[in-house]
Amino acid sequence: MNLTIGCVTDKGNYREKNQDGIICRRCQVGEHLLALACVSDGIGSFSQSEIASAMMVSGVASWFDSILKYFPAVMGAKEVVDDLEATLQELNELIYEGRTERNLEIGCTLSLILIIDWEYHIFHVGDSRIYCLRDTLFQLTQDEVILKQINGKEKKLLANYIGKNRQMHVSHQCGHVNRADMFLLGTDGVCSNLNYENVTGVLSFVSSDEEVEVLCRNLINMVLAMGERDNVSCAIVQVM
Amino acid sequence: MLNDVVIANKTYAKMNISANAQLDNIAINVIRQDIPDFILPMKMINIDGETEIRYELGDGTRLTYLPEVMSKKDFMILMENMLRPFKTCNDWFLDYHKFYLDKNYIIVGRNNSGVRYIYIPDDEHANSEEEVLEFFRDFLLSINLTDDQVYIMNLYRLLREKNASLLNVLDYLVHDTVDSNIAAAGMNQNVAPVMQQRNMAPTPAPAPMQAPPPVKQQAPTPAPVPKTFGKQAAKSAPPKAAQAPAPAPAPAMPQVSQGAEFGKSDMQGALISNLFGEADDAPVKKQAQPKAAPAPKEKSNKGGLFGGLFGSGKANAPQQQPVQQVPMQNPGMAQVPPMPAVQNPGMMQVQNMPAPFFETEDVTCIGGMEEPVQDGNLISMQLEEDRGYQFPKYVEIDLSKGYATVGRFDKAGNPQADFNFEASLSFVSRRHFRIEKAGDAYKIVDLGSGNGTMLNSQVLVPNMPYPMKRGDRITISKNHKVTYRVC
Repeated sequence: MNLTIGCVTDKGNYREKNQDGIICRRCQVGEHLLALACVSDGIGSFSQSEIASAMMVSGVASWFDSILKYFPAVMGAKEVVDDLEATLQELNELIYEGRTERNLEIGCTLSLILIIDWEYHIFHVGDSRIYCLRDTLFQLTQDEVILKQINGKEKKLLANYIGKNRQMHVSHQCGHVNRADMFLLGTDGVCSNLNYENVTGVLSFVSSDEEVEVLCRNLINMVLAMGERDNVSCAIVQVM
Repeated sequence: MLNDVVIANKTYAKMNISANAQLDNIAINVIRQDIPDFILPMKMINIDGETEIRYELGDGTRLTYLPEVMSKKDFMILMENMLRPFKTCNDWFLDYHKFYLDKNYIIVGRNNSGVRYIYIPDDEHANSEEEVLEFFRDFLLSINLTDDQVYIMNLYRLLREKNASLLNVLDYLVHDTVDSNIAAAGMNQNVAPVMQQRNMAPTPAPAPMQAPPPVKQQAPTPAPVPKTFGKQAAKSAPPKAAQAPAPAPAPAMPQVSQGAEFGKSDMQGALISNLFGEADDAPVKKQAQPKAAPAPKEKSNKGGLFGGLFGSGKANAPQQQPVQQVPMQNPGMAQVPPMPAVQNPGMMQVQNMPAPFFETEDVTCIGGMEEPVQDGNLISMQLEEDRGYQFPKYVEIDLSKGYATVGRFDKAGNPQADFNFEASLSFVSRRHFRIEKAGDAYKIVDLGSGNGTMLNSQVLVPNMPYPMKRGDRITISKNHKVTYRVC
């Protein structure tokens, strides 16, 4: 088994700053393979949300680096996943406290995939997305939004985000990874423009991380060319 | 008067009341049936003519276990939660003089969710008004605020006034909360400090302040952000947060309440309705603050983002197997350099102790090879079982203030306890357990940790002190079982 990974983020053509955060990591520990990809979209109406998304991805990256000391000799896959969930909960609390006690305007979404050998675990809050391109394009996560009529128009409003409550409501799912799977993570700036045709038109199997990053960049460019105004971020994990 | 017992892994406080005691049956019925959220649940059992009352201490932390050093904001929340029952108890046909005022038996809910008292439905044990005030005076003197010690003194002076009343303190707290919300919203203040206003009685009320956006009123929407989907939709700013609401007419500032008692107040109705708005700092209300008056961009000055994000212990991580790392982080995005975590000053630890620059004599010592110093204020722990986790082999804890908490740094690198393990050890709670000095002996208390604490293989019930002596074994986490031996 081999995993190739890459990620790209872009401020886009209209926004003043990039409030997205993105990270991907891969590590071979003995005969075990771990990979992690995480996207976090700062809430646009909160002026300092780049702090939240940066905290999220930095915290996750730091967690991944620290867990390598203990996996698999000390902590098995289940303990690793439990530890990740506890870490995400704590990061949520820090962002919540920053928002409520320090009056910082921060909040973000979270879509994270952790692959340990042939199993994947997804943690998801908000409306960023994780897709799996297998025989077709599967959307693995559900957007946590509500539909509301505002001024006669139907709008989607974010129902859940990191930092909303002290206790995080996160959806966690797991599954089996197949060879030739491709996982695509994206913030809503990317995902709102995707369908099976344009995704398969851009994505193809490649053999190196650099080429995966090129795929991400191509996807970003396609979305920006379609007129997307939001920050755009995407990550790809390929299973070979 | 009260004794702690553990029954079926729950902690209870029990007391006996004599058979001929005059009990307040109305209060007993209210507590049993209506279960006010500021009173601990109780059961009454008649045994051989004597009445035993058991109070379930439940979830939360004893007030005596809370850190005495806290921020002003945390203190204000705690104090408001402590005082609110004294105002609302009348509505429940309860008498606050019968609250049992002992820090060991006042339970503070998790995450500032409220404070609960033991209610003794017996006139014989009722406190006088002066005893109630004295309790809060002593409590104030025991608190150190990290950012505004003068605030404590102002409250203390309120309680020393001739006709002191807890209601005045509560008003002061609430107004200060409103004032700091105004300041946070960056709006102009046109009021004298509250204390100055109180001293101006009887004077006309000062110019009404510009009311802040209604942070304590019902917010109109549960969702903070309208996120439009579809490329054709214009990216619109969130309608609700974009516009500053017109300031509501401000309530006049209160006059000094001379001789006001609980349940009776000469506060104006508008102020009362604003006093006890939402208990929770629900996020929706925060988002109702107008963007037109942006909050001051208070950034943590603790050396990096939120005191330095993660960075303890990674540098020394030994590799157990050949590891091939491929860090993939997109350049150009916000980088947050991790700062090394700093151990809480004042706690002695054998590791990471810097050598003095000028030495008049050789003070080099090698840890772990000599007998631990037999000092009653220092307790040493030696690692017996690490289960593969990176814990310091030798730990010294300073009990000079009578107790010390053991926990870990949070994920942002901030110390949360008197002695802190590294942040990556997620299974250690940020405030895991506490060691207390009890004369020549010690006690250990689990502070409601997520994974539990064991003493000599016995799982500790949270919030319950257990006697501990040198030679005992403390196990952190029932699942991970990292064990220290008390030297």
